[in-house]
Amino acid sequence: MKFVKDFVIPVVVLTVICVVVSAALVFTYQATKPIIDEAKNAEANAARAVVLPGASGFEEVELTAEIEGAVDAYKETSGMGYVVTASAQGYGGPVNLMVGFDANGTITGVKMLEHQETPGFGAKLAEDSYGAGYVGKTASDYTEVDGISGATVTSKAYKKALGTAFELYSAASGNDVEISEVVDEPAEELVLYTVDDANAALVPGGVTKYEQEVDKIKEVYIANDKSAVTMVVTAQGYHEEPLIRLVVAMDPTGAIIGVKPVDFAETEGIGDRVGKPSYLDQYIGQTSEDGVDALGGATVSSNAVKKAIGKAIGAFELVKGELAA
Amino acid sequence: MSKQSNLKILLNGIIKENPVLVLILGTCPTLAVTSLAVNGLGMGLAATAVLLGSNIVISLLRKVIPDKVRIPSYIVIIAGFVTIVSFLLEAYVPDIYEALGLFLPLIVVNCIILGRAEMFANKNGVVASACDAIGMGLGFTLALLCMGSIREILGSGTWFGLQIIPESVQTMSIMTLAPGGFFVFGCLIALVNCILMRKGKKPKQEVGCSGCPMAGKCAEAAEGGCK
Repeated sequence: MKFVKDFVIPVVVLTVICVVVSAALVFTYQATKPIIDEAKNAEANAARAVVLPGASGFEEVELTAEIEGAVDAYKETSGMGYVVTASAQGYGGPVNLMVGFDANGTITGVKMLEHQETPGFGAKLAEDSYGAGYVGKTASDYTEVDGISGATVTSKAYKKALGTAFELYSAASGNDVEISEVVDEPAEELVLYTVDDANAALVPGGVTKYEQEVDKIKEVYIANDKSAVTMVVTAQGYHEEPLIRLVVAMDPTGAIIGVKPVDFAETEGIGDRVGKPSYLDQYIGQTSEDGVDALGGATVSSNAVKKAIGKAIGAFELVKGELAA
Repeated sequence: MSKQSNLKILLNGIIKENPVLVLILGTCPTLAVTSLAVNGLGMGLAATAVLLGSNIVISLLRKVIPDKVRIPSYIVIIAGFVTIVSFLLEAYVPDIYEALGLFLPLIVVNCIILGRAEMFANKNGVVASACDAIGMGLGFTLALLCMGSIREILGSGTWFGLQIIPESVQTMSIMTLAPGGFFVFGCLIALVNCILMRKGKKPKQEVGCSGCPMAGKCAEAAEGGCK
């Protein structure tokens, strides 16, 4: 019976061991499952109570309507409010917000759950201090809370998820609420000029190229009526190449008439905001490059612009004799 | 294997054959979970429970399990105990369950447990095997507790969550990170070696095969005399 000893008995023994162990597992699983489920439930309830302070327990609300971006909705068992989770597409992935509402639909708390937003920009919205700004807001005025500059995409996603959260609240509670839409502000475009266009825009009377290099600035133009000088200045921005190139126009007193970007390949949505009129126009009327604050989140690009304008201001003394006083 | 008294077997595991510090087994969970004393204690006790269960069962079944399928049988038995322990931990001490994370299911392949099954439980009686399991488990637990305590006190200034070093003192947070684990591990091994050598219980080790803690077994195996 070598066959039985070598093949049958090992298989039988191993099978029996497996069956017995499985039975023991089934038994333990059955015995511990209720306790584990209860603990998990308590943990989830504790997380929900963060956005609805004072809540004791929750029950899930079955949603009948299809709401885009809806994750789940829970009703506080004593009826003091609702906690819903809504999702919207952010910059690095979905932005999930857990939002607590009191029975009247006023926000009691907002918490951003896991996200992949950029640290230092979009991730700032995940901080509890930002969510705290929405406490007390309702469906009609939640859009008034400011986003975070430099995190436009995430800020929009945040508001969109909040809008969905209000829809969820409305569906879960049966209260009809008028949800104000997030109005898209027309995004300011970065407009690049050619040197000629910039000169034409800054000095309507036309310019003539100054024949000399002034303080290493190769392109200097004098207004035909000698009322202004324009210079093409460069500085290294966030990237090594290409350099930031600006046309700076100054009147005979040395005050800046205007600044226009020629080359401005800074990071989209961050550094490139520095090249937009809303920032560059702050230099109008300045006689020194130090009067304008750097733009938050775009320090390198702001400082490059400041440096370039500083070059033009430095060179101005050398050409101001060419202008009519 | 010569007959040893059960007490001696039990004490063996704590210092002389300490699984972590002398046999250098189960290093991975040792380094990974000992950033806090309570985690080390939890891991040690979980492994002890599994070791005790598996050693007893394997010892009971040592005449039943055919040699050919002994390793799969041991693994199934050990895995069963590990899963049971992890269910129990999840149900009753979820904090420890969270902290041990992946290392809990990995007890299945912890060398200490399979090692004791293969080296001890399948050749010895139930009582001796249970003593061996308790000794080894306590050795493992003590080593982990020791490492966890040193790392927690130096790295976080606390012990089992109690503030030991005043908060104003800057702690060495490297101790809670992986490098700190290696530092403490190395120092403890040196300490245990030193103690054993002083007592003359351990000859000066040579670098190489003869210095290996398994050298004895290895030589038996080479002579075909493992049994």
